[in-house]
Amino acid sequence: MENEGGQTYSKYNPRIPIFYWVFSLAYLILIVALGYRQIYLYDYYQTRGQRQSMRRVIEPGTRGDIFDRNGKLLVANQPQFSAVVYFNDVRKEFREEYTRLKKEIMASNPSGEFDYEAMRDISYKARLNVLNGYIDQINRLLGTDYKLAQKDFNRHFNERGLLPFPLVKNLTAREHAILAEKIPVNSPIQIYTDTGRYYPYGELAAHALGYVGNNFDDIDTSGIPGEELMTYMQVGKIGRSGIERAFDEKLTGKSGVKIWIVDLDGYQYESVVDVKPTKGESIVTSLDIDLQGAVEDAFADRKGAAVILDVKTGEVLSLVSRPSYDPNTLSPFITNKVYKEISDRGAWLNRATQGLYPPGSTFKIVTACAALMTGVIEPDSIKTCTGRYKVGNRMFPCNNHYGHGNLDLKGALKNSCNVYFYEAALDSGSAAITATAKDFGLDSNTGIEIGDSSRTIVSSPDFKKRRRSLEGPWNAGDTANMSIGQGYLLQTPIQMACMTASFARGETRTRASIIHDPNRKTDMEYHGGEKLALSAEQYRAIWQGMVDAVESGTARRAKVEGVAIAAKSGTAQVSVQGKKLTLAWMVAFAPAENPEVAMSVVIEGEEAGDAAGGRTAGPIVKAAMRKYFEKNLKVINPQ
Amino acid sequence: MAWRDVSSVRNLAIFLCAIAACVLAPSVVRHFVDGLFEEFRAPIDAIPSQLNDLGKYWSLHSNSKRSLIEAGRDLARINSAYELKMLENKNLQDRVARYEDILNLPPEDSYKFEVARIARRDINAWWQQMVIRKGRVHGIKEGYAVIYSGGVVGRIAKANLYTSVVELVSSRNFRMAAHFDGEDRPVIYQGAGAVSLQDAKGEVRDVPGDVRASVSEPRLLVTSALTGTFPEGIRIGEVVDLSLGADGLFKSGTVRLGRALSTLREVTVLIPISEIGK
Repeated sequence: MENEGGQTYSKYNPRIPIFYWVFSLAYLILIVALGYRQIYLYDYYQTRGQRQSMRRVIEPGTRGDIFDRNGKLLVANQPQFSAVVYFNDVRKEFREEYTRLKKEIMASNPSGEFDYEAMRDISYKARLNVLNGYIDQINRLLGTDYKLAQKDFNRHFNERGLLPFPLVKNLTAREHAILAEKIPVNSPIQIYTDTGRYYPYGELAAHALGYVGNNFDDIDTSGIPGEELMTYMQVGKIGRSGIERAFDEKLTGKSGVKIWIVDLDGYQYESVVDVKPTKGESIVTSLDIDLQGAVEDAFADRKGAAVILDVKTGEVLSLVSRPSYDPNTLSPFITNKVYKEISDRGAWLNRATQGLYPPGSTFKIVTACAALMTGVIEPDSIKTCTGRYKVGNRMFPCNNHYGHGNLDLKGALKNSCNVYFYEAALDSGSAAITATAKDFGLDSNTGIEIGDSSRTIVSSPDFKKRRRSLEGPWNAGDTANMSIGQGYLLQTPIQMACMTASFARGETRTRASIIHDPNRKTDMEYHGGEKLALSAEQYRAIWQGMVDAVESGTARRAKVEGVAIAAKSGTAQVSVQGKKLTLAWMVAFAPAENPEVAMSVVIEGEEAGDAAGGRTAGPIVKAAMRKYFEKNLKVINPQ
Repeated sequence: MAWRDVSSVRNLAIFLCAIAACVLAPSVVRHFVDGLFEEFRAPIDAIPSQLNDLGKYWSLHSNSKRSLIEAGRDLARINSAYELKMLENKNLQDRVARYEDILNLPPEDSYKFEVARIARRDINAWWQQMVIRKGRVHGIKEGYAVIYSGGVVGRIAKANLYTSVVELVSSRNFRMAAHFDGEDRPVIYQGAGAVSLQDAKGEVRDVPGDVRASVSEPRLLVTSALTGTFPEGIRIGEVVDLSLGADGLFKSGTVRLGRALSTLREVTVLIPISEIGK
């Protein structure tokens, strides 16, 4: 203790150590916290830092090509060029323009203050000015008047800043050439190449091939690194219908990825990962585009559908649905105008696989099989047609109002006599016909990869009870209607083609496919059916009836010199919006002795009585068969 | 001693001031000075070339009468062949004119040919340029096409009053639209520079996937008239390899340029007729 001027001081103050301890503790806490953050949480912060400073850009792969069975290119990719800038390349110009604008505003209003909103507006305006400068440069070179939409720019800058900003999209070949040549190599304006789908045959097989649409966010990113990073995706393509949709996964290439380190403003700084996208697999379809063209030409302006199958393999050689559309007009996106135009023509529907039609007299093949199998008729059973047949208290007409007279099965098929089949069906009962139709697979899908309607109807008492209960119980009239392919029956053209191919092989099922496979199995096990339960004589009777129909019966307009064709025509009645119309049908296979191709054709009538089986559908079968056999050098005496 | 120190510092200061003035001068001033420098330097580029021509002229005087007579004979043969070709060309031009007239087509854009001697070459790893002895007074402007008998030489990068700088077809800064001979699908050509002891090369890209080329079966790449700079069908070079890109859409490959590019003495500048007098 010291005494100085009457005051007492102590060198040792007991409160000081308390401060020492407090400070020491505080420092200790700081050091421990620092250690905890820097050492213990090192990995956590490193990952978080990476997430904040890295961005992932996913670039979808190019889609694979589609070929026909002879190697002809049906769908390919074509380049779509755009003039783009990367924001990172014009960053310096953005800053200079921002500074200039800010100076201008400050000069005009020295006392003004800049809040965040004002600075953001200046910033956007500066960026827009710079990009407008580049658009002007492009306009000068091309003699065009392209404009930059501020809305597009804002959205792109905020949401897709690392992706190239398109100044001008879809450049023509000339525009592309001029820009590539006249824009300096080191200019921020770059030519960006995207791909668009290209359909060289236009409307041909459009429904089978399908089309694609833009895929903004459903791109497969599995196996691509940087899942946890903020991701930007280039617009990809996705199949919307047909083969493009059914085989989308195979056609879609593997996406590429670029991972960028970005700075605080979000501009790309350095690329750390760069994996290039790869092209998808190509597909060889079973279609024969020459045959497809011949059939579509034969349709001219008629509405309807046709399916041609390889009898042995079930491969679809031709799948026609008319009216059609040009898929080139649907890429890169469908405009409202195009959508409406196709809708108005009713061209979106794939009538070959989704169109539901009563099969008319082509169904008599099934009725004949059922009647023979149940033994109610024999090949040489004679029935008399007087032009009409009374069932209950209702008269059912034949197509020949004067009557066909006495007919056996062959004659009934050749002349498509309704009365013969009314009688045969009533004798066999509806259950036998329903069972035979189901054996032929008319109540199930055909297996075609692009999908077909599952709403087909094979009528039966049970069906009527469940779905048409208000129309009363099943009666003999329903059986008579069913025997000639009317009533509740609804089938797709591809099912009728499969039924025809099955009959041509003497089996019950045909599994359709639109993919060409030279090693495809062709046995009964593959198709999933059984041998038809008909004797050779019974089978021959139906077969002969169909051959005679082409030679001199109702299908004679399908006749091709030098080729024996077996066919059955049909005319079905339908009511469309209260209007009674007819459908012209024909199913056929050839050569009759050793079948190679089977087909079905349906044509929708547009006015009362303007479509009748043999007259309307016959020429289309003829054109298809002629083309097929000409191409395969099998026409003996081509006319 | 002290004076020398001050003098050296002063010189350094002047040098630094000059550099600062160059850096800080407004772009208009810099552009003007640059142009002035080029114009003053033009005779320095041109004189060696002209002296070289003069030397060649006098060296020809040493030839014997006999060799001159033989050369004269050869020249006469070549001239008669050219006369035939000229006649053929005239007939073809007349036919084209008749077709244009019948089909009401606008006359095909044609060019005035301005032949120019080469004054200097800068062909190395950095630059791929040459200076020719004709400039703005002869109607030459930036961007005009430059060709020789073997194909494309390049494009005018800078036109001075009496000289012009040609960016060579081998330069990395040279890019143009082109197509393969016998096709019309446009592709992009870009120079690839020169590697020492190797011939100049270029690159071709955006080539459709079905086009094939190899060293044994090269494909001829020619100019496209799409952009209006070059006429149609002038040889650029031969594409000797093509490989498909990762996207599976386009191929890219190497273009072998003409060897004469490095030994040329004279080139032709194509001046569009529509530009004359503007």
